[in-house]
Amino acid sequence: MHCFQKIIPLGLVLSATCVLGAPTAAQSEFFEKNIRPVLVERCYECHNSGGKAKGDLVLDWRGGWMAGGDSGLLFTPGKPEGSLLLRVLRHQEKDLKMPKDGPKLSAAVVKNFERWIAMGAPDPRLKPPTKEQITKATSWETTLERRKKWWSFQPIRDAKPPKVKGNWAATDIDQFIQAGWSTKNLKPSADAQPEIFIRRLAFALTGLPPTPEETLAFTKAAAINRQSAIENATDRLLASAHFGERWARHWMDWVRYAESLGSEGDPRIPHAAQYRNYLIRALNADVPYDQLLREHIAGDLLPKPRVNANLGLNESAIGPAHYRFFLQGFAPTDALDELVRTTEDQIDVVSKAFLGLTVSCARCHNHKFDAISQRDYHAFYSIMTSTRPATINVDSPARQSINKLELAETKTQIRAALAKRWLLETDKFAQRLLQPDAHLQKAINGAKDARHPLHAWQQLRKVEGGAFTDGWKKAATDFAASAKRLDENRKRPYAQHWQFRNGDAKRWVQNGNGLDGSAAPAGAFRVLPKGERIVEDILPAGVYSHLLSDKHTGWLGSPRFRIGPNETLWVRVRGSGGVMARYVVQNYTRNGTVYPATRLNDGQWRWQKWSLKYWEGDDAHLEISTAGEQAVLTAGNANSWFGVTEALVQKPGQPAPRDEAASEVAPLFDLGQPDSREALAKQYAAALRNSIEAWQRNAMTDAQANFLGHFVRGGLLLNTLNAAPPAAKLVAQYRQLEAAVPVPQRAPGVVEGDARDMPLFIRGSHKQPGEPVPRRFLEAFDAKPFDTKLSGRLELAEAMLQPDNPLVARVIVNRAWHHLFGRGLVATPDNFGKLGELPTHPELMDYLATRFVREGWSLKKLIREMALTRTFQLSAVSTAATREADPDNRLLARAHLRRLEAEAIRDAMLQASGALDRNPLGGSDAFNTNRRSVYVRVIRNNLDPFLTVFDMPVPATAKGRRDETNVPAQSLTLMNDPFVISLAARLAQRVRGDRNLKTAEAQIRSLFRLTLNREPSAQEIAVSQAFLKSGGGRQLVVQKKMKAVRERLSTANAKVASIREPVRKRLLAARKKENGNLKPVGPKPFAAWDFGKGTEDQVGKLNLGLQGGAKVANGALVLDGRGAFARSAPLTKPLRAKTLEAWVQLNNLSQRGGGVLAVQTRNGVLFDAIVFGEQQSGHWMAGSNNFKRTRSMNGPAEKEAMKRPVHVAIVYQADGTIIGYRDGKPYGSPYKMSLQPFSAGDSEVVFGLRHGPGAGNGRMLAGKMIKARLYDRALEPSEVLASAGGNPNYISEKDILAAMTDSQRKQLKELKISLQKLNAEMSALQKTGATSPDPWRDLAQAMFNLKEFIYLQ
Amino acid sequence: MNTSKILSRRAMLAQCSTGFGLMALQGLMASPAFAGPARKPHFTPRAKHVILCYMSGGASHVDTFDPKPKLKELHGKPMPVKILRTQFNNNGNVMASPFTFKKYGQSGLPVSSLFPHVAESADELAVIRSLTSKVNEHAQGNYAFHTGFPFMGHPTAGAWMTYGLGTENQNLPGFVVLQAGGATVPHGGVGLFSNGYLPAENQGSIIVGDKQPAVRNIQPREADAAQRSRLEFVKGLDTDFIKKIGGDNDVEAAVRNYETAYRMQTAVPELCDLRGETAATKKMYGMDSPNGVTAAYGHQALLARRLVERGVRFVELSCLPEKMGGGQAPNPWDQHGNLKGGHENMARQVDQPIGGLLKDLKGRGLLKDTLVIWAGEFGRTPFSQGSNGRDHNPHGYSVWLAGGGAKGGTVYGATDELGYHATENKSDVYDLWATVLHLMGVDHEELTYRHGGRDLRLTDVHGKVIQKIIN
Repeated sequence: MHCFQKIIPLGLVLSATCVLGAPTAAQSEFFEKNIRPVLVERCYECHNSGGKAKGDLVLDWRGGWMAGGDSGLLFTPGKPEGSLLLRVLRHQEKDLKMPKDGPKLSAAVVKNFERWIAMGAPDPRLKPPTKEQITKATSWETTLERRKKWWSFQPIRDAKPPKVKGNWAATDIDQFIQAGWSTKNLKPSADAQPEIFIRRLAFALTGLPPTPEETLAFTKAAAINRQSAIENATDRLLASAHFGERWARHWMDWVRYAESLGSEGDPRIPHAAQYRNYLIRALNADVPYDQLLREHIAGDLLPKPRVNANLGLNESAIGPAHYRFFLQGFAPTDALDELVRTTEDQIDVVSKAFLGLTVSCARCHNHKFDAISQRDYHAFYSIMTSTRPATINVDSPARQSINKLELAETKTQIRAALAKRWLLETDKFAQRLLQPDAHLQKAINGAKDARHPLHAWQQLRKVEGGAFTDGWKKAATDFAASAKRLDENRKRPYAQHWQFRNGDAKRWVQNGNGLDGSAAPAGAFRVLPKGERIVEDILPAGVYSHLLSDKHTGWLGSPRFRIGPNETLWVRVRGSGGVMARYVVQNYTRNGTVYPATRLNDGQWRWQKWSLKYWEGDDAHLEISTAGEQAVLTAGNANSWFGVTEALVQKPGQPAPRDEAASEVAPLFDLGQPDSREALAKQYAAALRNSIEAWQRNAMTDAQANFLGHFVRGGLLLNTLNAAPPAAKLVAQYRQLEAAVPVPQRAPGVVEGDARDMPLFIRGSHKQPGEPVPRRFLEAFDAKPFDTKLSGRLELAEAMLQPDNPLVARVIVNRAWHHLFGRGLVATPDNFGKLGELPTHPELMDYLATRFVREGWSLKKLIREMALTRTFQLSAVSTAATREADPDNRLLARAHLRRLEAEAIRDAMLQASGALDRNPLGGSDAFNTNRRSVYVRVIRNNLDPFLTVFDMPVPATAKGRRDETNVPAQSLTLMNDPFVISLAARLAQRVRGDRNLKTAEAQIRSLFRLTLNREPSAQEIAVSQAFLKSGGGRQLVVQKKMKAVRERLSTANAKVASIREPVRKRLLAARKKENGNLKPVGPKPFAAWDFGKGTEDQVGKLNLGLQGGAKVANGALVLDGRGAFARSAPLTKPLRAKTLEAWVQLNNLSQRGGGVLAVQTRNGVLFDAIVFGEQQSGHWMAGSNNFKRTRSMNGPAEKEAMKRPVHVAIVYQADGTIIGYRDGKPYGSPYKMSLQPFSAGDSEVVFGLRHGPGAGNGRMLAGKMIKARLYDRALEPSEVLASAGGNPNYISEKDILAAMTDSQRKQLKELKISLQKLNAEMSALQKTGATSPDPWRDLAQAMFNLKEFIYLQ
Repeated sequence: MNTSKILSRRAMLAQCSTGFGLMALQGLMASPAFAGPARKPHFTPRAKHVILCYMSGGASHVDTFDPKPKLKELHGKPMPVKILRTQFNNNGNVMASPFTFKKYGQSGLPVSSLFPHVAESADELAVIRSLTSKVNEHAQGNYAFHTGFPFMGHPTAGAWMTYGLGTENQNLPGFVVLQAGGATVPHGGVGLFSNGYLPAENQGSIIVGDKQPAVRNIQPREADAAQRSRLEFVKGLDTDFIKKIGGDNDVEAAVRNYETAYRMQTAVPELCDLRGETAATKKMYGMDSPNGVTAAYGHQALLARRLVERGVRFVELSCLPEKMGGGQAPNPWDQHGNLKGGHENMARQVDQPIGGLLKDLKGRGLLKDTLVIWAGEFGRTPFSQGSNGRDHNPHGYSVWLAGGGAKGGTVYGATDELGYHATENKSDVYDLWATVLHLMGVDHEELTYRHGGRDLRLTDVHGKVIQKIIN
């Protein structure tokens, strides 16, 4: 081998001296190990000699890089410094950063390139590769093989714990950890103090802090034997019911648990909480992880489901609920796009949560970095789209079949008894027809439609001889025509046609305990669950959900079909109780503008029709289900049922289907030609007898069933308990059995039965379908298509759990590690691929995974093993040296200090304050519940602000590692949130109310124990006491001052009374004398309306105009809450201080913001109003523009205003004080804001809306007003009382003043001024008092505000 | 890019002794509370701030900024081209715009009679008439517009901006969503303002300009002295805790957060206090309007200017219902029926405030640094829905940019003669955001965040800067 190559470009010649010699063995090895794989993996695709050479650069042989590219020479062998290649790899070139569209090469790899260049760039690739070689090198097969070598795809090794020195390590795990320190020469922290350790353990296992008693017990036990104390505490906490709540919440993060679909309307996912409860139960019961995974993938299909006998639940069937937590848009016009996206979401979650792989990254192309092909993604896509979303019955098989056999058996007996009874009747039927009773006569008269069996009789009963023969001939001709049409209808080449009498029901997807996978033969019937009638109807062949009970569930779906141009869908269906019938486009779960859905309630047969024109080209299916079984569109009815006989897709030009007389009256016409009415009557009897006998034998035709059905429905055969005593007993028995059929328990789920391999979407575009991809697992493990007619989920679950798949076990042990230690061995728990982090302790991970599987996939055992390590005991306190050597604490020589999760912070406050409600399971609650946070509802468009601010994840994707952010909103929440403050108050009360805590110091100690689980230091006690004293001092001063002012006020008030009262009494006596009997009198209003008298102002000029349908009736102004209101003429004088008063009765107490009476500017912008339930539901309030003068009055919730008119008044004083009254008495407490003046001319009074003029719905009042008044001044309390009831003893202030002497008046004026001052002083003091929190509450809140409270050491 | 480890422990401890009220006076701290301090852009920025006037519900382009005389000609006749799927599938005939167009300014930019005030600034507007959306529904459309993806979970544009550029004011959030007078969040919920997977300090903060409190939990429930003394007490114990554990950046940052929160309690009310604004200014924004919704939108617009003055990076304004106290607050431009009346009401609501905002910004020299965007999630069909409404049209619609380096008086792209499909320079929201980021000095392909194994962008794998509308 000589030094020079033929094609070395001139520029290289000088520098490329003999360093280009044949590589030595060591150099070759270096190249093969460190350079070639990187070139192949990251460069060949774009820089090869086979046709793709971006930037005119080729890197697949030596000559390529030597020639350089458009940007010039890459490097000079032997001289790495400043070379273009290294600059590009280091991303130092502004416009040239390689590799493109991928992560930067690691520093180690770049270093290798530097070394390689330095050693002269030895490269054994002397010739450009052949086309085949290039294809092979860049082919997916080669790439896959290479990528399969990634660590996480390698088999789990049965790693042995390394030998370590000393006696630090207590367990095998510790040995692995200790061994890791040697590289950085780390020394472990000390063991954490017992009270810190127990707090860590309790939070990690249950999400709750230990109680002070538990902490004390633990520290005592630990003092005697630390290891056994830890073991006991661990076992106790693992056995706690709170363990499941804590770990279920982790799991919920992995599967983006949510209770609504998001998007416009944000509809609920019915029964979502059932899944959360399932997780909690399963984790508490330590159900093996492999079983839970199986259940998540295919729990509804398991041949031996896990049954919870106590609850009568099929637990396994709840597992697949997570498929349903995708986000769903509102009425998308591209339904397939929506399906693609929701399915991607499902795949994303399943692959990240259980495999630690980002399979959804391979939707548009093969994965950029991992061993996942685009075909892999589509194999999953085929599996997922072979299911359909639904709400499913998750009762245990036993509960689902309660009394089913007995009901069926009793029904057979009822059929026999009834048939026997009916056959007796047929003997008399001919005679009955000839001499009909009134009931039969009515039926004959009503039989106007040729489909009615008695129609022929109605037509012919009065004719004889030739007329009869002719009449029958005509009827027979019509029948024959109908029969011909019926036959044509059945054979017509519709685009789709399913006739259940032909066995087509077996091709449909059926689910629920009311359906059995096939159609019932003609003659099926239902025994009515109550009432005098026994049988409802005799039914033609079809699928019925209620043949045993209408509490049974039924979900019936047609096969998928592709919609052609201008097609119309028809289904012959009947249903009751909120049955849902709809066509489903691309599995879309909601209804909406172009997604029609029909609820059936009337129980009558109908041909339901939908035009499919809009959806031409899309896949759809038909769904009919009982009320509770739709994915989203459920109704609450426990009793609901449907029946279906036929469905079809009609092509344009084809006639619409209709019910033919031939299918109902054939039993009569098939018997030949009668020659007289007597013969016809006999023929009826015979037809009836044939039909009943066929029913008896359970071998009837549809026509016979329909024929007989007419007689049963019409009451023409004995069908009542009274008339059929032998059946009556059986019916009673049947009804008893049916009553015991339980209402099913339900959960979100998916339904199987219409599997199909779906096309690969080229470049991810659903508009470019390619070849179908079979349902199978990832080709990196097993590319063999599943052998199944179902979706393949069962096979997928088994494939995931195959021993040669190392991911499942590794991923879950890593998740457990992450949640216990605060950082996973792989720090990216959802991504074990190339863009994830590498494991810090790969051997330990394999050791754990091996043991985990060997020990039966027990999460509790796994967690226990981790919790009992010495590593878990390490203190978070560390030396600077440790922190410097291992800043991210990857090697765990100390504990991670971490912030508590949102739920743990909230739960810890609840527990510390004593408010925690420990009731498990059940439904979901509003945020202000005292239950644990895991039970707070998760509504996507209305996520709880407290939990969200502390990083509870938005449910959009798998989230194995939560964010741990620091934002001011968190501080603001802990400083000012009413929930936090109320819990602080409760905590303060708890400590103060504890009789065992006799001193302030004892109480402070208790506060520390309850919040921080430790004793305070002497200094902490001292500063706490000082804090209490400073705050307490403020409080005391205020209280003292208030007492003094209060005394002065009462003295002044007494003085006022001593002057006023004698005058008032004198006047009253005089009036009595004058009138004899006193009439009630009140203060004089500025305007008054009495709706008994009309709409005129009884005092002033503010007459009302009625608008929007408002009316005066029965002495009241009637306001409908939708548009009705009344509006006065403009104010005749400006208003400052004022009083609004009304007598009003409400239509309902749930209305929000309805205005009773408002003074407003004519444009409706500024207003003061009496409103109901505006900011505070169920309460009276002073409404105002933008709530400027609105605040809770803190009065009691209104309870009576629906039953009777109540009196409500609001006084607006000149100083801005606002006082509410109800029934003449003060309502809540006054508050002070600013005063809003209203000018004359452009102000007015409105009734029935908060403010106008053009206000829309929601602000209108629904109720009646009896009368109303407006005062141009602020009334005194006594005046309001007088106005409210009319007070016979009322003497107006004006009259009193007039009757006083001058000196009395002067004295009174002075007194009033001093009263005003005192009142002002009082309200200032009250404000200070109210805003200086109780010092103990203050201290309690301070404890919640401490970082030590929200951080876990 | 984010780091919360800016202050050393020593510096923090030193400041601990200065106490809470004093911190507010210092106001010099580089706190990570709001998107970190201002960061260096990729290249010289034209704009420092963005104000997004989001026309939620889908304003009709053929009735606002894209005149189509052909509609008049064909009014009442069937659509001459195939009608694609619409959301209500209640498609009528071609419907002429009930509004008239006039040319304004030196540029002669045509604007409909709905926007006389905005039209006065016609020479500032760069209208894109060829925007398209992939989705045809409000919530998805809102998400697609804000985040580039039609569903929650991704960061919104405002969050990307603060993530990329930081903020200039540490007492206010860098990304603010304004509301007033009954404006609510568009369909899709507050997720529209989410930081997604970006650090949480980038999330949008809602300020309700005319409500007490304007920000959730911003109002202390106690006297300042009481709150301050508790915070002092807490800080004392926190400092001990930090010492005890040997220092921790996250805990130190959490302590600093209390200081920021404390200052915010003053900064937000100060921001919302409009007493210092003259009557003339308020009038310019329509705040004196007898129409309550105009006054309330004007209130937002004026606050937007005040936010920009205070260095806030991204401000989004929220539409109110058509009428005060009325319904359909999350999508008030959505006139499936009575387009004329509804659009008149909505234009009356926003025209004067936005017109006033443009003039005020210009008058104060702020417009050159502030990019104002007027846009909704899609346009409306040129044919009627029912008799007098219009359905959603994502196939081509108009948005405009003003100030901040946008080339005023320009029209970019075009729809067909009916205004149905974008035909010339078809663009999408990725192009729009690429352009906005470019004006902010950011290369949209470089603004990435690694999440779920991918380097994600506001512009996903798309986006090209529309150079023709840049000055």
